[in-house]
Amino acid sequence: PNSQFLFFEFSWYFFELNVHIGGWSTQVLQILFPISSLYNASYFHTRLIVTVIVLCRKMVLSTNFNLSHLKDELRLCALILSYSPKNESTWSHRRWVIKNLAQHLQDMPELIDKESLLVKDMAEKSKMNYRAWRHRCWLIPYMKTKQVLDELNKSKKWAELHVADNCSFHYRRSLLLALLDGAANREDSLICQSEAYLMWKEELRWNETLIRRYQGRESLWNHRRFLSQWWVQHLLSCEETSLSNESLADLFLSQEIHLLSDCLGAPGDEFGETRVQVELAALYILWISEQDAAVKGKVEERLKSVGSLKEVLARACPEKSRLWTHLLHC
Amino acid sequence: MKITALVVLKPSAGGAGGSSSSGGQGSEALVLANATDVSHFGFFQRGAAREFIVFVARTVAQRTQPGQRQSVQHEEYKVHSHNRNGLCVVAFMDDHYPVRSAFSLLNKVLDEYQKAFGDAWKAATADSTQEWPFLMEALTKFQDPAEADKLTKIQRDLDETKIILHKTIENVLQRGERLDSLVEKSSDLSAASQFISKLQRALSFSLHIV
Repeated sequence: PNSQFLFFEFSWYFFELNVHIGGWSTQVLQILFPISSLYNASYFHTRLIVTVIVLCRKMVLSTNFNLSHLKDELRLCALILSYSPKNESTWSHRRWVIKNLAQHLQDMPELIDKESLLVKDMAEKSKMNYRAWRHRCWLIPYMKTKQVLDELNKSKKWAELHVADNCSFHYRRSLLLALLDGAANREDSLICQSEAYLMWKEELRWNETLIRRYQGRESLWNHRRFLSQWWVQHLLSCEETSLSNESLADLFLSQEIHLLSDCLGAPGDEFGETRVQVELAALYILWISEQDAAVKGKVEERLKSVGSLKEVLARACPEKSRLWTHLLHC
Repeated sequence: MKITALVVLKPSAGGAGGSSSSGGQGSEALVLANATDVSHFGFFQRGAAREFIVFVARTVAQRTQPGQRQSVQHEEYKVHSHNRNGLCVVAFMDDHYPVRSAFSLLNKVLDEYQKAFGDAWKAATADSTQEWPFLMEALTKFQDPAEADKLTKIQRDLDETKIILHKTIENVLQRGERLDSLVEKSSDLSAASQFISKLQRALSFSLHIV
C-alpha cells in the first residue's frame, strides 16, 4: 500500500514538472511505472525506481539549471525519504543539490538549520539511520562557529533520550572536532579555542551523568574514550608550560579511576546491566592507559587502590579471561 | 526513551484467569485508567496496537501478586508491573528505559491515583471510563528518565524489594495457560486483532510492518 501511494505521488509530481524539466525523463518514468506495477511494486523495485529517477533528474538538471528547480528537488527528496529514510541515492542527490545551491544562496545558515531538522525527524522515525546522520555530518564544513555551537546545544537533548543510537554521538564528535579545527585555523581562533575547552569539559561532565544513569551503554563509553583521549593530551601539554605543582592530568585520571570503582561497587541487578557496565568501565580504563606511555604509568599508579586491571576484568567477565591475558601482555 | 502506555488496573481477587472447570471466561483484571501513545505506529495499526496493550496489561496485572514487582520482555517493550495492596500499575517502555526509574514512576502513579480517587477503586466491578488527565501528562513528562529519577523518595524501598524478570510473556502465565487461548477468549481484541495475532505467531512478523 505504501508503494502505491508513492507511485501515485510521483506520477502527479512528474506530471506537474513535465513542463519545466523537459519531456524525456518523464518518458523514462512512464515506461518504468507500468513495469513496476506489473511486479506489484515490491520494496526492491521501489528502491530501483527511486535510484533511476534520481539519476535521470541529475542529468537533466545539469543542463537545465534553475534555482527554483533545485528547491523542488529538496522537496522531492524529502518526500522520498519519508517512505524510505535510508535510501543512499536520495541522500547523495540531496547533497548534490545543496552543493549547487551553496554557490548561489546567501542564507546558508537557514538552509543548514532546515537540513539538520530534517535529519532529526528522519532519525526519530528510523533509529540508527547512519546515512541520515552522515548527511548531517556532511553539513558541518558549511557551518560557522556559532552554528556549530548551536548544533551542539540543540542535539544534546535528543542524544540524551536515545542513548543507544551511536550515530548521534558520532555527530557530536564531528562537531567538537570542527570546533578544534576552527580553533587552529581561523581569525577568531582564540575565542574558538576557549569555546572548545568549555564545551569539552561540559561534554565530559554530561557524559558521566549519562553513564551513571544508563548502565551498560556502549555508545556512551565510546564517546568517553574520544573525549578523554584529547582531554588528557591537552592537560599534559598544559603542564609543560604551567608552573604549578598540581598535575591536572593526574587529577583527571584519578576521577576516571573513581568512576571505575563506583561501577565496581554498584549492586548487582537482575538484568545483568551492572555487569556489562563493569566490563565497559574496565575496558575504558585499559584503553586510555594504552594511548600514551606517560598516561599508562599514571593509571597503573592509581589503580592500586582498586586492584590491577587484570583482576578487575577477570571479575567482570571471567569467560573472556584468555582475551584479557592477551590484551594486558601486549 | 519512550513510554508507550501507562495503565492502572484492579486485579480480580478470584485469582488468575484461566479456563474454569465450567469452561467460562476466567476473571481478568479491570482497567481503571489508561493512557497510550501509539503515534509511532502506522495509522492503520494504531487501533490494533491499543487493543493489544490493554490485553497485555490485563494479563500481566492479573498475574502480579500484591506487593510484587515484575518486568516482562515483550517484543521490543519492557512491561513493568507493580501491585500495591491490590492496586496495580502497568507501564510499557522501550528497552533502554532504566528499570529503577520505571518503578519509581509506577510508585508515583500509584500515589497520585490514591490521592485522586481514594479507595473508590476497591468497589469497581467493571472497566472505568473515567478520564484521568494526570496519566497522559505523566506519559509525556517522564519520557526522560531523569524526571523519574527525581522521585527518589522510594529509592530505599526499591533497593530492598527484588524485581522479578521474565524473558517472555509466556513465563508470566500460570501453569497450563496458553497465550493463544487467552487471546481467543479476550474481549479486548477484535476479530481482526485476534487474526493478526495468530498470523504474527505463525509468521513471526513484528507488529509494525511499515
